[in-house]
Amino acid sequence: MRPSLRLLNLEVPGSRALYVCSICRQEARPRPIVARQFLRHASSNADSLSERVRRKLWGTDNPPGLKDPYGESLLEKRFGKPKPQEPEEPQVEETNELAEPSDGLEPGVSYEPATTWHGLERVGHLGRWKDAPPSEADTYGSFAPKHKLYKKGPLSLAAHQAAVEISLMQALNRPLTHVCKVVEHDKPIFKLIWKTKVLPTSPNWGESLKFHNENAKKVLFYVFEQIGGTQPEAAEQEQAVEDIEVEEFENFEIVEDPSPPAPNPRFFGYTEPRFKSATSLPLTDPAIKFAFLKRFSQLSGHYFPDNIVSQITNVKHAMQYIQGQLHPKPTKLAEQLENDKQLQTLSNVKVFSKRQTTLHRDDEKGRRKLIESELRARGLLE
Amino acid sequence: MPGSDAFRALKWLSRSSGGLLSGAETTTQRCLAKPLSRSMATEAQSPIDNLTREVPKPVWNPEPVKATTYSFPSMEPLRFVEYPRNHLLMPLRKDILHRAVVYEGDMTRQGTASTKWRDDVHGSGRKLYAQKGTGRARVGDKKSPIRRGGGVAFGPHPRDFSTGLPQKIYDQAWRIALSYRYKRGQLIIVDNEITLPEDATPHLITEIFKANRWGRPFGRSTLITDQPNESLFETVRQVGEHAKILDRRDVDVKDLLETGRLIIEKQALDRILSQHSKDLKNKPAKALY
Repeated sequence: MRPSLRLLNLEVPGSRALYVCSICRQEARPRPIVARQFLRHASSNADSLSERVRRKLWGTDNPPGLKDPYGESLLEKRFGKPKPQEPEEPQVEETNELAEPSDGLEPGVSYEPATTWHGLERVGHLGRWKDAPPSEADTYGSFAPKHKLYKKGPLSLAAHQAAVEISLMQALNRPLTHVCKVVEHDKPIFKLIWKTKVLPTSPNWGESLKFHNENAKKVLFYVFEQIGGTQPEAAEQEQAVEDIEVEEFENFEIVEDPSPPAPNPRFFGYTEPRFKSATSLPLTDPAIKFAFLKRFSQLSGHYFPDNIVSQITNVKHAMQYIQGQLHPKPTKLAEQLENDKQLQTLSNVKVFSKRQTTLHRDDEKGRRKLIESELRARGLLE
Repeated sequence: MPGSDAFRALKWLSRSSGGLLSGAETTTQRCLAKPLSRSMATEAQSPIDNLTREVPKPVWNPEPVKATTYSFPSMEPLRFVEYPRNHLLMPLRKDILHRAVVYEGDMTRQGTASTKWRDDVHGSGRKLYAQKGTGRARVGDKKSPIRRGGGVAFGPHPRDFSTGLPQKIYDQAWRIALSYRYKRGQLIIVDNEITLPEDATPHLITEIFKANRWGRPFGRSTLITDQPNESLFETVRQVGEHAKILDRRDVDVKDLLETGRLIIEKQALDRILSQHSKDLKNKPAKALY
């Protein structure tokens, strides 16, 4: 059925005599005021239907968003006459008072809820995970320290400390890897370790220690006995250890650095080990090797990949690996040749980083300008 | 050794009663002695004894490969584990890896491209106009491949692109790929399961990757778990620029070679290795009487 006919049937049920054509019917209809109110020129009216609907939707007399969402295009804004500034609405102040002070805000700063998007960095829901702050479960406790050691001094300090600790554990017949349970020792203990010498005479690390004196030996043995083991009467023993440590510390003639403590507190301001003999300790026993590399990783922050672990046979290799990793060989042959001092001393050898052509040779001999000018004169060169 | 076989045959011949050499033994010995003395000039005394003696077999006990296992996520080294050399220290064979990757690529091709030949196109087979008299070129029906809307000549049809690769070679490829990673120090074996705390967000993954230098600036990393863990996978996938996560069943040789390093659960690694060492376990069939 055609629309007009359907309309006719609906409007005039039962009577076909009173036929009115659809055009006349349209004319006779009341004017569509409702539709007119949505028009642009009508929307500025504060009491317009759209405004009322907005108010009803938002539930406030001052709904957010633009008053006239379709008004004032970009072109008008740029090229049109500047409008006189509208007086500020008193509504904002009311909202300020109503706004509850949130936890994240400083007491002096008041929170102003935005009514438009002007000046906001972002509008809408924070959809990406990056926008949300990390949760409590997102704390990462790494085995290796955040700041890695790079310089030779601290590295050899770490190697010395690891070697002494593992030698002590072996002398005490304790599980070697338990040294990693104590990431950092107290200063007096560290100083005792620093003063202890490791002699690479025996393959058994436990026999390679040479202590500063008997007291130091006693203290270190006592302390490392506790690490990783069962600790009966822990509090009392701790106290006892502390007493001993303090005594020892006072008795020793430790050369104190006159300078203020270094910014890196990891080794209490020490930059070099007292004895460098630890570097030649062998790493042939797999258990010792594993324990040493583990502890060394923990102190230095560098892991040893499996292919390197098989190549390392003594402590020095481990240190060399870390240093070599940071200063890789120049990859280009030219660079290597340029850095070769033996080649530089030879009078009949020159090393260039680029391929030398006749142009370079001409340039060197000083005839390039002449050639060029001659070519120009003959019209062969522009 | 052909020389020793010849001598054994000679001895057998000479020993057997009424054999070939029984009659003219001296002459044959004289004849044979000459070339022998020349070839074995250094061994003057009883060359036959020397040659018939069994050569001791070289004892070859290569050390197994040592790998470090770590605990995830702290990456604390836990212990050394040992693997056979033919698992993690295979020599690099790029050709085998290439064949394996091509084989996998072929196998995963969808192969569903399909076109209609002139018989498959819907339409009549009526001749469009008469053969003669119109002045135009002769035509057949509308479905001819030279007409718009007609069929496609020699177009693609659904087919299986998969190619074959001997299982032994494919198994080798797996071990070669893992060995390549191991030899470059890019195989990180996790002793426990790769898990995260329950309410962990991708922030934690980025933190772990940053601390261990596993992320995009260092060539990305592939995490391989033994069993799929949906929440973990979902979290890791959100930081896809740094990480890729797969469970053991989803891994193939190409995945092993793709990113900067592999972080693999020990259980997954063991299973992969055991599943792909059929060529090592296989022994030639023996007749059992």
